[in-house]
Amino acid sequence: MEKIKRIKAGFPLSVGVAVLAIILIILPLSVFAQTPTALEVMEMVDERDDGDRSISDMKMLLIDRNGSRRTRSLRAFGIDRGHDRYSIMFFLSPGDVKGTGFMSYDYDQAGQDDDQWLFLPALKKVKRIASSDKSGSFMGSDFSYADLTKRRLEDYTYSFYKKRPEVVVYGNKCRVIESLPKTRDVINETGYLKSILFIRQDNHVIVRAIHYLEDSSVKYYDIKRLAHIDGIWTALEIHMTRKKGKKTVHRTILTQENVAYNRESVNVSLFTTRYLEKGL
Amino acid sequence: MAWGETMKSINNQCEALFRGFTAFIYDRKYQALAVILAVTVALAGQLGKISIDTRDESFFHEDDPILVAYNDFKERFGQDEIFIIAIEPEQGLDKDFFNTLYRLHHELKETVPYIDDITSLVNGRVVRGEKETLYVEDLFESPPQTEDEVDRIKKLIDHFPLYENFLVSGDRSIVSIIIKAIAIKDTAPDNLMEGFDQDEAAPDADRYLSNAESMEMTRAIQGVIGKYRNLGHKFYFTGTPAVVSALETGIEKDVALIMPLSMLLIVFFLTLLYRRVSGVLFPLLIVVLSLLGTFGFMAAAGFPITMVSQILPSFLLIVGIADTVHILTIFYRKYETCGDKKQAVIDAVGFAGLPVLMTSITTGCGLLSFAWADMATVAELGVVAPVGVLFAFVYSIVLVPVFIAIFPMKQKKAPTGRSSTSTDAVFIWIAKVSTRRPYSVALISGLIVLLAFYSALSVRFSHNISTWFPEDSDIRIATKRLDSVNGGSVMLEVLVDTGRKNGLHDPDFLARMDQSVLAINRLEVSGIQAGKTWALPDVLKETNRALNEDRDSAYAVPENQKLIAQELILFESSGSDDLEDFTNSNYSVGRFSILAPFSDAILYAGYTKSLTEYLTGQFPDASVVLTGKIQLFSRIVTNALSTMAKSYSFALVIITLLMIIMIGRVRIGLMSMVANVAPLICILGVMGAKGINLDLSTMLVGSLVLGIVVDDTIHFLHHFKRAFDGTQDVERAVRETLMTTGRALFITSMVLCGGFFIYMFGSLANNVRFGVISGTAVIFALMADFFLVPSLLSIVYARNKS
Repeated sequence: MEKIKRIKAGFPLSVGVAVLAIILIILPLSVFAQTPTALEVMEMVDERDDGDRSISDMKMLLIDRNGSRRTRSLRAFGIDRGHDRYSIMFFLSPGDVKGTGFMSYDYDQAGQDDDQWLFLPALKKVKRIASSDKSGSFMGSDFSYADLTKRRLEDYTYSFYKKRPEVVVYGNKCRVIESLPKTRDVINETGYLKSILFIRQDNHVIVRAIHYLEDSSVKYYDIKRLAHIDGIWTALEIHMTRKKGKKTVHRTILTQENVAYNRESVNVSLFTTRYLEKGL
Repeated sequence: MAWGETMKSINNQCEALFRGFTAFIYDRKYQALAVILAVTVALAGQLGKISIDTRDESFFHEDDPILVAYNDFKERFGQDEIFIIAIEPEQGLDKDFFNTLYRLHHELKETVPYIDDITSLVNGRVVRGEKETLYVEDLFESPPQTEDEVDRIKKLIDHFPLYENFLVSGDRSIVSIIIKAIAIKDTAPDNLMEGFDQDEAAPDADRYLSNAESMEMTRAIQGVIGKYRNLGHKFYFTGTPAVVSALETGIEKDVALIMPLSMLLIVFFLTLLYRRVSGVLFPLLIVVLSLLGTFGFMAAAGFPITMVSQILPSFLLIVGIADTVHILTIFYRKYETCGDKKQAVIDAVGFAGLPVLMTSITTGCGLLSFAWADMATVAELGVVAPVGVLFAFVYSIVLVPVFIAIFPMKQKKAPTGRSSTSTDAVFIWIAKVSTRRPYSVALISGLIVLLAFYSALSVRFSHNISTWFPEDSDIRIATKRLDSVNGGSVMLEVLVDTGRKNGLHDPDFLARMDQSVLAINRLEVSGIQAGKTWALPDVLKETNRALNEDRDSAYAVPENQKLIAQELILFESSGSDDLEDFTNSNYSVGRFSILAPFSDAILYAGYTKSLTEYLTGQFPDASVVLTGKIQLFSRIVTNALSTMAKSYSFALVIITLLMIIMIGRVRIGLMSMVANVAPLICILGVMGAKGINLDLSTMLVGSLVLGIVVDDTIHFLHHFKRAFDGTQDVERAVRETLMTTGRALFITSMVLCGGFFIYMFGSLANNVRFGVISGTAVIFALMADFFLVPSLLSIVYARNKS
C-alpha cells in the first residue's frame, strides 16, 4: 500500500493519472501488495511471538469412540532459551498420577534429539527418556509430542493448497498451505505423511490443521477459542480429533486456564531434574 | 378313497392344462422364446454386481450375538485377524538376514494396501532401562551394519518375552512379520472441511474389509515375498485371512476345471443315451439359462456367492437336467411312433408336466425350509435355490416345446439303438424281482440300511478348512509349520470387563490377569493349547523392569495402585499407540490375545468352553466375553448342527406332507418317505465307513440327495399310479413305469453321477468328498426307486387286495 501511495503522489493530475487511476481500480490491489509465498507465510508463523516464561493450567478431556470420557489436568511452565524451548509440566489429577512430572528441552538445531525426563512419584525416581520418536501420544491424548513442539521450517516443503488456497474459518480469512516432509526421518519422527494448515491472515496463527498419518488415520486440529493474552495469541481450547475415514476414533479437548506470560517466577531453575523431582 | 378320486380328477385337469399350455407355446414359439430370453438377459445383466464372500462372517446372520460381539470388538480394538509372513533364515539370525528382514518389512509396509499395522522384529517396541535413562525405541531403526549390532539385537530379542512365539519362534528358527488389515474401510470425507464436523449418523453395513480387498492384500503380499524368495531364506505365508484367500483361489481353480469337465461329461452321456443333437443341446441350454437367471437373481437381490451357495451350479444342473430329460425321454418315444413333433411334445408335457411340477414343488419347499436356518449362508441358499428350481421348471416347460418347434428333427425308428433291448431286459428283470419277492428285497434293503445306520453312528461333525487343501499345498505346509514352532496362527480374543473406570489399575485384578496368562498357556483341551497369550500385565512388567534399571527381579506387576497408574501413563506416552492391543481407553476392559493352532472347529468349542469356565472363576467380579476368529469357528459348529437338525427335520416333514397330498394316499406317501430316507442313511453309512466327517460342505450334500431321491420317487410313483390304474397289476405297472420313467431316471442318474464324480479331480479335499458322496448318493437314490419302492408297493397293494 505504501508503494501505491507513493506512486500516486508522484504524478501530476492529468489524463494519464486518470487512466492510471482507472487501472488501479480495475486491477486487484493484491498485485501490488505482493502475495507472500507459502514459505513466507510459514516464516511469519514461525516468527510469531508465542510467549516466553509462560504458566498455564491445562485440562485434557479424552473421549474415546464410545463416548467414554477421562480428564487429566496439568500445570505447565515454558521458557525460551535462544531458539530452544524448555517446558515442564505436572499432573494435578487424577489422584493416582498426581505429581507425575514431565520435562522436555526442545532443541531447534536440526539433527539434535530433544531431551525428555519423567518423574514418577510412586517410584520416586527421575528418568531420562531417550527417544527420537515424537509421533507417540502425549500423555494418552490425541496430541503427539510433535504437535506440542515447534516444527523446523527447513524440514518441510510448503505450497498453497491448490483446491482451496483461501478459506474462511470462524469468520477469519485463512490461507491454506500443504506441507510435506522432506525426508523419511521427518515422517518417522512425527508420524505425519502430509499436513494441511489453515493460517489466519491477520495474526499468523495456525487455527486449523489436518494431519495425515501413516496408519491411514487423519487428525483434525481445531482451535475453538483463541485469546489475546499479554499481547500473545493463545489457544485456550483446542480440539484434536483422530478419525478413520468419516468415523472418530478418539478425541481430545485441550483447554488452558490461568495463562500468563513473562512471569518472573518462571526461570531456568524451574527446568531442572531437581525441580521435577520436588514437584509443585 | 374320496381323496384319491379328487386327486385323480385334479391330475386329469392338470394334464389337460399342461397339454393346452404346450400347444399354446408351440404355436407361439418365437414370442415365448423372446420373453424367456428377455427375462434371462435382464437378469444376466445384473451378474456384474455379484460378489464372492468366503469370509467366516458370512455364515452368520447380522443379528447373531456372536457376530455382533465380534464386530463390536473390531470397532473398539481393530482387526483380530492376522496375516503371518514367516521366514526361516538360511543361516540363522545374522546380519544378512536382518538386512533382508528390514527391507522386506518396509517394502510390505509401503506397497500392500489396507494395512492397519505391521509388526516384526524391525519395529518391535523396546522399553529398557540403562542407569537413569529409559530407552523407548524400535528394535532396530536401521539395518545392523556390524556383528556387534547384530549381537545387541539378538540380546534384546532374548530380553523381551513378548516377542517369543510371535515375532520369533522359541528356537529362533522362524521370524514372523505380522500384518493386520484395517477392520473398517471408511473413506475420507470428500470435502476438506467436513472432517472437522461431528461424525455422520449410521455407518454403512459394507464397510468391513471385503473378501475382494482381502484377496488384494494377499496378492500384494505374495508379490512382495516373491521378490525375496531367491535369497536363500524359506518363506511361509499363513494366518486366517491368507487361508480364506487360498480357499477362494482353490475354489476358483476347481470351478474352472470341474465345471467344463462336468459339462463335457454330461454332453458325452446325453450323446450316448439319446444319440441326438437335440438330446444334448436342449438340456444344456435350459440348464445354462436357468443358471444365468438364478445367479442374476442372486446378484440383483444382493446375495453373494458363498462357500455354501457354490453348490448351486451342481444343484441346478440336477434339477434342470432332470426336468428336461423326463419330458424329452417321453417325447422321443412318442415321436418315434407318431412322427408328429407337436403331438409328441404335447403328449410328453401332458404326461411328465405334472410330476415335473410336483418334484419342483417338493424340492422347492424342502429347500425353503433352509430359509430359517441359523447359518446365514444356508438361509440364503433356502431363498435362492427354490428360485433356481422355479427357473428350471419354467424354462423346461416352456423351452422344450419352443426348441422342438423351432429346430428340425429326424424321426428315428430305434433311437436308443441296440442297447434298448438289453436295458429293457434289465428293467423287466428288476420289475420281476422287486414285485415277486418284495419281502426279500425289502428285507435286504432294510439290512443294508441298518448296517449303514450303524456305520453312520461314527460320523462326527468337523470343520477344519485347512484340511481342505492338499497336504503339499503352500498354505497347509505354512500353517502346520507355524502351528508347530509358534504354537498357533489363529487368534482368540478375551475381553474382561471390570465395569468400572480404571478397573485395571487394581493390583489384585492385574495379578489375577497375570496368573491367567500362565494358566491359559498351560490349558489344553482336546489337544488344543495356546502357543502364546498376552495381556496388559506383560506390558507393565516390561515397563516396570525398564524403570528399575532392567533388573530381571523387577519383571513383575507392581503391587502399588499409584505406581501402576503412573507406569501406564508412561506406557501411553512412550511413543506407543498400541494401548488398544491391551485395554480400552478408560482401563475398564482388559484384553487377552491368544494365539492358538489352526484346528477343527468342533475342538475349539470344547476349548473355549473350558477357557470360559476358568476365566469366569478367575474373574467373578468382571464379565468375560470370548470373541475373535476361534470363537466364530466354534459358533459355526453350533449353528451348523442346529441348522442341520432344524432344516432337515423341516424339509422331511414338508416333503412327507407334500408326498401324501400329491399321491393322495397316506400309506403310500409314508412308504415313499421310507424310500426317500433310506439313501440318506446309506450315504451317512458310506461316510462313516470311509471316515468322512460331516462338515459345512458335506452336510449340504444331504439337500442334494434329498432333492434327487424325492424327484426320482415322485416320477416313479406318478407313472406307476397311471399304469396301475390301467392294469391293476403291480408287476406290469412297475415294468411299464421302468420302461418309461425308469429310463429317464436311469439317464438322469448316469448324467448326474458322471457330473459329480468329476469333482474328484478337484484340488480341494472338500470338493473331492463332495463328488464321491453326491455321485454315490445318486446311485443309492436310483437303487431305492428301482428296487425298494416297487417292493414296498407290492407289499402295500398285496395287503390291500387281501
